Amino acid sequence: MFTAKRIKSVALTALFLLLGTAVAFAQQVTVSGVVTDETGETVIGATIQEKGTSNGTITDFDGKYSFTVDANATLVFSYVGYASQEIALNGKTVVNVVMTEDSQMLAEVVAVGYGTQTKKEITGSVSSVKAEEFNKGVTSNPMGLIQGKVAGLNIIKNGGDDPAQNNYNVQLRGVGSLSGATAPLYVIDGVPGGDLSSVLPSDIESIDVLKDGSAAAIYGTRANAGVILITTKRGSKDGKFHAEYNGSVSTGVIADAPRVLTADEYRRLMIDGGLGGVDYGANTNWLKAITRTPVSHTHNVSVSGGNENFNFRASAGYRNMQGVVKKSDYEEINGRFAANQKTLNKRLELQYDFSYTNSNKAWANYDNLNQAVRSNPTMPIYSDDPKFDRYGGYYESDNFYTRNPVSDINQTTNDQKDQVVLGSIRATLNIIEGLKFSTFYSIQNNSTWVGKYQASTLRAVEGKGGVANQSQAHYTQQVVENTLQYIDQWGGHSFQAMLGQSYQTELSHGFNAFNSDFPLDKLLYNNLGMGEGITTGISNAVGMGSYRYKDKLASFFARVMYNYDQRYFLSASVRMEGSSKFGPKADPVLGRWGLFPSISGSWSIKDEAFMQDVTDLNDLKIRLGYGVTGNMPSSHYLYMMTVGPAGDYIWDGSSFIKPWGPTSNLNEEIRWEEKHEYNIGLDFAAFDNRFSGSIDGYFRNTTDLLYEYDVPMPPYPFGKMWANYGQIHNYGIELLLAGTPVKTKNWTWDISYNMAWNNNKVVRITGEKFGTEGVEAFVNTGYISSGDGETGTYTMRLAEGQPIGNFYGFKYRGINSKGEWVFETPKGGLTTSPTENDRMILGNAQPLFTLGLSTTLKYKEFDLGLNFRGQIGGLIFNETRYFYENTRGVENCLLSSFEGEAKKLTAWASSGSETASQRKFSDYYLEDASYFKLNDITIGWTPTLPANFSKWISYIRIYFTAQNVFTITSYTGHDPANVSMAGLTPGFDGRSYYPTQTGFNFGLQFRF
Amino acid sequence: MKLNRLFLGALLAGMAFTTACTDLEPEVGSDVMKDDYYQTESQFATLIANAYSQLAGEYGYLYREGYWGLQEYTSDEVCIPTRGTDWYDNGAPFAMMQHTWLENSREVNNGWSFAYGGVTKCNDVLNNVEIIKGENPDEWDEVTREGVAETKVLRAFYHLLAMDVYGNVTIDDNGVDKSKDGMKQYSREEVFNWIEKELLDNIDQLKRQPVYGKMTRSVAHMILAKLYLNAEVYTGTARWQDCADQCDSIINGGYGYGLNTDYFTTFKKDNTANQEIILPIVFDEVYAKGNMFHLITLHYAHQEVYGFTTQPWNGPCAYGAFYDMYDDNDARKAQWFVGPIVNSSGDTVRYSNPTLDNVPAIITKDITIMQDPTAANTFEGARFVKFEIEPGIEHHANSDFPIYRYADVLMMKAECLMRLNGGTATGEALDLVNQVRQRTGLADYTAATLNIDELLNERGREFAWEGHRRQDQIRFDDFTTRNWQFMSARTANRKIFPIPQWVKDANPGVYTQQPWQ
Repeated sequence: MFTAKRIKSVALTALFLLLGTAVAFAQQVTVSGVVTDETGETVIGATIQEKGTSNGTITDFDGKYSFTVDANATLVFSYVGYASQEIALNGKTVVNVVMTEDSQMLAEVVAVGYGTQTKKEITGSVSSVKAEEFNKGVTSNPMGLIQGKVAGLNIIKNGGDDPAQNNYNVQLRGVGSLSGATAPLYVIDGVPGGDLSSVLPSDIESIDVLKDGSAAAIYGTRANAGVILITTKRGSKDGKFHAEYNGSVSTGVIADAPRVLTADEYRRLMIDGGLGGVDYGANTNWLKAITRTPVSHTHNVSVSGGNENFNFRASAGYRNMQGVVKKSDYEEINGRFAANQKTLNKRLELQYDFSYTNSNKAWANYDNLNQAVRSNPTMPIYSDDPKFDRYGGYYESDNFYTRNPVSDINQTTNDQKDQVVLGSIRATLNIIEGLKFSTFYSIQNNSTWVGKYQASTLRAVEGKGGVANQSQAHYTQQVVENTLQYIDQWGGHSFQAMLGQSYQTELSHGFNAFNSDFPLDKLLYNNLGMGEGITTGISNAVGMGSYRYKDKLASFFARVMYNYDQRYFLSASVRMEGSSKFGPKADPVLGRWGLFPSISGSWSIKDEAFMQDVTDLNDLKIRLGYGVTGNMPSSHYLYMMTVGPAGDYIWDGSSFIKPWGPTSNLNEEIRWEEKHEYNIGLDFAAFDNRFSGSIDGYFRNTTDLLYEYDVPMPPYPFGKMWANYGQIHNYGIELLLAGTPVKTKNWTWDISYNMAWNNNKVVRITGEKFGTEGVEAFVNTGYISSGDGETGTYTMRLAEGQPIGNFYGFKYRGINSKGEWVFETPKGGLTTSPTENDRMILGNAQPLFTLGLSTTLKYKEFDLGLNFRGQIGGLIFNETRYFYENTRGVENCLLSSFEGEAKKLTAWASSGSETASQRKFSDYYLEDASYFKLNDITIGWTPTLPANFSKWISYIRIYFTAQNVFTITSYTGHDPANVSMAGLTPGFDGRSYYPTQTGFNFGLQFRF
Repeated sequence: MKLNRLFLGALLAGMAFTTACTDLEPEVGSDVMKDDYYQTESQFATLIANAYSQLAGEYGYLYREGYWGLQEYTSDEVCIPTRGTDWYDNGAPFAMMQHTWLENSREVNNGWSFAYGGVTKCNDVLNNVEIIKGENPDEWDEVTREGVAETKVLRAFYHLLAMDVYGNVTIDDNGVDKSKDGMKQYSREEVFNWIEKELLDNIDQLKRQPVYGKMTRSVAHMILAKLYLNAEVYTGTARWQDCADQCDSIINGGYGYGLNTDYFTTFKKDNTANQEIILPIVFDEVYAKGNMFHLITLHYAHQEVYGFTTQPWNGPCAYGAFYDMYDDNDARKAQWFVGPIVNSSGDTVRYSNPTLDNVPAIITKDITIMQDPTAANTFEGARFVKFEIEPGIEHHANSDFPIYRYADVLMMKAECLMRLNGGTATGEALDLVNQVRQRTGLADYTAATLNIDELLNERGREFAWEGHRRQDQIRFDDFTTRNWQFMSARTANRKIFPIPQWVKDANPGVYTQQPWQ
């Protein structure tokens, strides 16, 4: 290495000596010319430099230049945003140049975890989304920005467009865990496990997704579901002060709502139609009664400035968002400060980050949307009848399962306040050239407070005299990290090595308290001690609790990256990680510790000599990778024997005592889930980088899946036991295509498309380990929650050899003239009285393809952007139809109960058998999950400002965004795009939900 | 260079730091590790108590969708019509009522979890006693010895419950060996013999003086009596004399049991430690929830009358034919509610549902339709009000539930004497039955009026809904040989329930299913 370096410096010295000699004998000429761009427009202010000297000039208003240079000189033409060109004079005195726009694509820097790489150097599967490519409009969390942008990354917002619910369900490359949906590891400016709500969407510079195992393995036991790196904007280094304001006002309407009978229709179809029902005399549109036209606004201000040695950026944001359902609100204040400093002769670099988020939430009760569907439309909202005094004058149905949703909204207060503080500091010391030592410390503090009050006249808490609850939760995460990095180059070799250590602690603690029987409702949850419930002890709604957990995570990691001649790239990493969540028996050799290696490589074929003639091709690269990652259990002390209060009090002859016993079966061998992933990828770019793309294929084998497996009881005290046993395969293909079909002086049209196909298979969920080898192994899931006096039934079955998300039930063949269900039996016969044995696989929920399409069109000062996303294939269970497309529901039903096949069911009242006409889960309620949605459309205007104006304001942009504009689908439920396809019960569209809305935003952005 | 020295220092500090940063010892905050518990006497008491916890609570012995459901929903004294969509429960109650249960029926699944959950809890207690108090019983103190004996008797009792409903089952008498080969299926007779041996081996170590709610000597006699009473069903060999002897041990043992002069005293809200109750589940509206008879059986409209904070569920009731077995003069008939639901002002409560508009709420004894989507059958069926209905309570009542009571001891002994006498009542048998019957206000039985069939009827009237009916009907060969409303008798194999599918799946090759369909 040192020898190579010495050779290099000798060679460089020789080169300088030669150049120096050349200069000494030079002869001067005047060179001139015109610089234009690809569209033929002249380029004003382009820099022309005589190479190796300080001699240079710039082009004038006509793009012309002229200056005196050495006759043998080489000219360097450069202009911001364009690729610089070097042209040797070779006796010429007129040099006209056409500048081509610089394709940053291959030089683009991508975060890869504990460092960055250029896109060219990437050997794994990494997707990078820059700020300008983000989805537009109001998003409550950074994941909304890249929804539909990354092939294989499925992002679905939880809770529809509930402003208080700002979590997204994020799933990468299929379901790889049995213990529920697992989220990727978020790394925010280097903080692993950073809280997404600490980052305002407008502060994000880029989001990088480490998709495959070889890229993610450096994050060890937390990387199974992928790693998402978020990099925020930093200060400018140009010595100037910048300020920016960005604000918007928005409103919205419900995108789609179940069409129930109006009061008139109810009277005509139900009562006059002889199907039962009671006319209470009123005309109530329940949905309308609980919704509103929301008005929301957001404001963001940022300032930045500084130079190479010290720069900063500070931003503040305010958001006030109303949901379409009454009393669902969100308000947030966010502040962020980022600074970089160089000191000790630029040998020490310091980076500071600090953010603060404070939010207030008002939660909606999603069951109210269900109640709005089922409530009888002839029922009034309010009643003067003294009978309803105990409900505060709200009319309440005789049906036990129907509740007045207006009463619930008005008589419930459900508030939440959150604070997230995240601070970090990184010190990097350049020890010698190429060798850096970096130390990093971060602390994140989350506090959540919840206060809930249900008034004494609310039917749901009838007889309890008002129920109040407060809870607090605190979470502190600290990370200490030390890394040593070495970079060297010699000859065509380029080498990088990194060695690191990290230690992380997570402390959670909190408490909650309930009380009931309050003398008045006015105080809400603010005076818990005033309730009598805690004294009388009869009501269930009293109690308190607290908890404290601490987790520790220690890791050592190393990575080497090597490339030869920017043609052959190789990368290998290993992480050894231990956790307090695992016991000494987790691994037979390493105990609490696990080892997560990876290796990957790529070959840039385009850079081979034999490809030089293919000039239309700008890039062609093959990548190969293999990596091992893990997934940690969420429980803290799963491997230890804990005991606790078990069951009700027991009379010991003189008093009641609380029995104590084990809380679960003991398994000391609990360990992480382990994923082995193979990835093969191809990147290409052509036609001056105007068309590019990549294709990735992967195979993920996830083993040691944590699950609560069935075990024989006896001898085990409990019938289920947490263990690492299951296995899932996911394999798929991802495609990304991007192009710029039009690029002229006035017009630019960009388009990008991504598509992913994933196949999933449960390989093992039971077997020898539990003495259950050879048994048909399945687990029923997707239970329809009880209600209306029904126990409920399962709708899905998880079975070995089958993908996750198989619907399992009766196969619908029709409805006979008596209004009875006719189902197919497994032997092909028909039955109107199906038994458990007549259930069969009805199809799978997971879509065949997911896709995203983005396009922007720019014309002079105007821009138009559209983001589409969609999926093809898959099934959704429409629970609203299951319950309400049926006139035997004693309250309201869907209008579709009187349309098509469903209409035949109404015949049960006169002729059918009771049992045979009752609702049963079948594929009648399964619908095609395919959809194609215009996620957002934005029209923007960025006027050219008059010179005297632009002294004050350098940039103004006015824009209008419509979100969730339309959805092409055959699905008859709420919004197919909002049905989770993650976890063990994909495609289950529940009847308690929060609607999505079509949003309209008007925004203004300006810079000083 | 100064800087290099700085770096060296930082590196050394970093390495020292790194050593500290491999600490992965768990820090437990709010969880209790086993080693930190069961140390004091009161903590030890909670360990023993856990063996009993399976019996208690809503999901214990009295769970309507579990063990109690198996014994009662299947019998001729409980009917659960579907009213509207209420109580359809995907046909689960019908499967019990009509004897069409499957290997994965709700009650079949829950019954197993209940019985063997109890067994494994007992084993956990026994294992922990050895860890805490040492493995040598000679070194145990009195409290420990009694605790072990009562836990073993309780474990035998749980096995009896499992064997009674599932037939050939497993015996789990250690709990330590968790290997997959540890479990084995035994014939009903082998299980019978093991239970008998466990009880006999441990009965002398039990406390002699009854402790209400605990396994003491008299309770062990009672369990033995029940075991022998049904011995012919379980093993093919009758043990009537052994049963009678065990009954005598209780009657003559000086345990202080006796009959209440009023039938309903046994079922009052303050019935704790009542002289007639031998083995109770002790209920309390706050501490020990689970007595929900008022909630499951009463009509929605009863809420207003009793001021319950929760609306009753309008569920199980008696078949009309069963209700009709009671003579109008039988004081015990008052354990059924039939007639208008009257409020405190003396007015009949009015009730509306989507089919009925503001009609007077009057409970009728006959059930005309098993499944009525219109819920027009809402008032049908006699309601079970044997346990004191306590105005103003929420879900859970205060009266204890007698698993075994003294009247049963007398009735059992009478039955044994009759059986030993070729089915004819002896003088002593008549005397025993009439002791129990005395408080009903009806005339005494004579040898002419008390035959075996009448004894079954009398047991039904006396012990209605107390969890004995299926067992009694089987012993009197009445369970699978007769039709009653909505139930047409199927096969004699329906005297046992199948081992649940999930149990067979979790123990491949262990369980061979007896014919059960």
